[in-house]
Amino acid sequence: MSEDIHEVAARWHTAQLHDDMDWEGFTAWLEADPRHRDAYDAIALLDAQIDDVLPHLAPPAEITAPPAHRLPRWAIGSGIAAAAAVALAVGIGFQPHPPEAPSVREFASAAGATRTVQLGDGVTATLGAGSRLAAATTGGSVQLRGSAFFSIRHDPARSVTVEVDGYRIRDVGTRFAINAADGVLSLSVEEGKVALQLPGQSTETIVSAGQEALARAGAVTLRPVRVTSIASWRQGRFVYDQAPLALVAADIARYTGQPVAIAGPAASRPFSGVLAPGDRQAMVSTLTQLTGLHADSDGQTVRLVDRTGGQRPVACACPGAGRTLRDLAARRESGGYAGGAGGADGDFARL
Amino acid sequence: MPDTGTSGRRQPGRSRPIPSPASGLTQLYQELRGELLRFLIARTGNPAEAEDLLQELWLRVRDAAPGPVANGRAYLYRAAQNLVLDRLREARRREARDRDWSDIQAETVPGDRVDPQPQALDTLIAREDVEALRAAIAHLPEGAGRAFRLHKLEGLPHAEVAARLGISRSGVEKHIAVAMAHLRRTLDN
Repeated sequence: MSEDIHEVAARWHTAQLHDDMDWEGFTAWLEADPRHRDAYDAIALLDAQIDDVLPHLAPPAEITAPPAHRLPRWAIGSGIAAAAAVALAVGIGFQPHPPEAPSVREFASAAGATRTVQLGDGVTATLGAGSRLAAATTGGSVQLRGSAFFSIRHDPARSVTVEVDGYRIRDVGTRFAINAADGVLSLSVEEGKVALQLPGQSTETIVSAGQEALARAGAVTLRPVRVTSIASWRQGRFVYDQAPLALVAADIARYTGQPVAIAGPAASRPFSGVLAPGDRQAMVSTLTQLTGLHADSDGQTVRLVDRTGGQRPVACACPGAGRTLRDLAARRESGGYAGGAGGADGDFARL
Repeated sequence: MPDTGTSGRRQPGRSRPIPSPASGLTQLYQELRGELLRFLIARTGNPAEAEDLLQELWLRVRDAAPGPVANGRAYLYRAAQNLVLDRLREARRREARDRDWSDIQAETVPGDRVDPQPQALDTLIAREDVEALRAAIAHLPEGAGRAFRLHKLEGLPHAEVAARLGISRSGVEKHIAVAMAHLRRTLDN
């Protein structure tokens, strides 16, 4: 009796997760019979479909939280409870970790700078400006405030967990970027897969290479992401494609080291565009030009407010959005995007 | 690894991870171009599409952030797989959209950047199917179902599932493959 070809297809599909995948054998299997390809397509599509609806398939809780008692105080309970506009103010909420926690190492990046640190064998983190990270020396457990790009070498013997704003991201050998502020999380995966657990939830969402998970208020959505735009700040610019303005404001605040707040519906409005690093005034000014938002300053905190009462989504058909946005629009064309970026390249777009 | 007649002729020398220097991915691509093309032809059944995908793969490799890649060969194959899957999904989406979506499209204002919400649409379609999927998962054979739930729904790596169930990693993979084949059959009917 011949083995079910869908089962064989599924075994090939599963085997890919491992570095010892026999790619030539897989090619030969596909070549042996055109039905193999159809079977494989069916399995791969089914797997992707399952990934898409994972949040709705909620299994009973079985995942236990990692021990948190050895981590610094600021990293504990720093979830969405603190999610107010004030959470965007850099530096607020950090307390020196208690001396009884010598097994934790802490790293911080200054405003205007990124910092790459080795967290252990095969685990590298690049901190975005104004971000902070604590890692247990035993490895495996990392607490983050702000944004960071992680590169974790695959090792079947370990899995690394990153906690940020109450979210948990579990990795088994991959490269991914995190940006979190004000209860909003963006998680973009460049390579491999990670599992994302929302605050107070026991189920996980699998986020695969080329996908971005956007989470807020207990819900997560997955969408394609251009891999070369992931953690674009590593290349000295901030590239956004439909990013919630809360994350954009947080990037500016952390980069400049000065508070930038955005509250209300405007915080979740999507923004697409490119920001050049600069001082707060310049970055905020670019952002207000592109979004139509108004910047109020009390001398210390800049507040971005929407005075149009606007229901209008932040358009990317903005002057100066430049080539990068056209690229983004081109990528989305197959997804059915109408319109796209237009206008001449402005100063800030030439990076 | 699936145990089929055709998969037996593994060449150990070729399956080893090829160490790649920081900027070695493009070089590795050049070295593996032939086998990648052969793979893409086998994967798509369409030589022209395979060439096109290979070109797309090259663009990705060229634009990839510099940095060491642990296993360049696996990286390239996986990237190729992802490109194929993306196209496949896009094609399915387009089919679905052509069927269901012309009325929504007509309401958009030309020149606006309107999010056509392909994700939302997918979710809508998926929601209709999600109950069927949930039921199918509930009716999986016991061992396959447990392995599938632990790995897929709870996100445990194979090794961890193996430890929990007290079986080998390849046993876990076999279970999961059985589960996937089962689900496909159930959902096809």
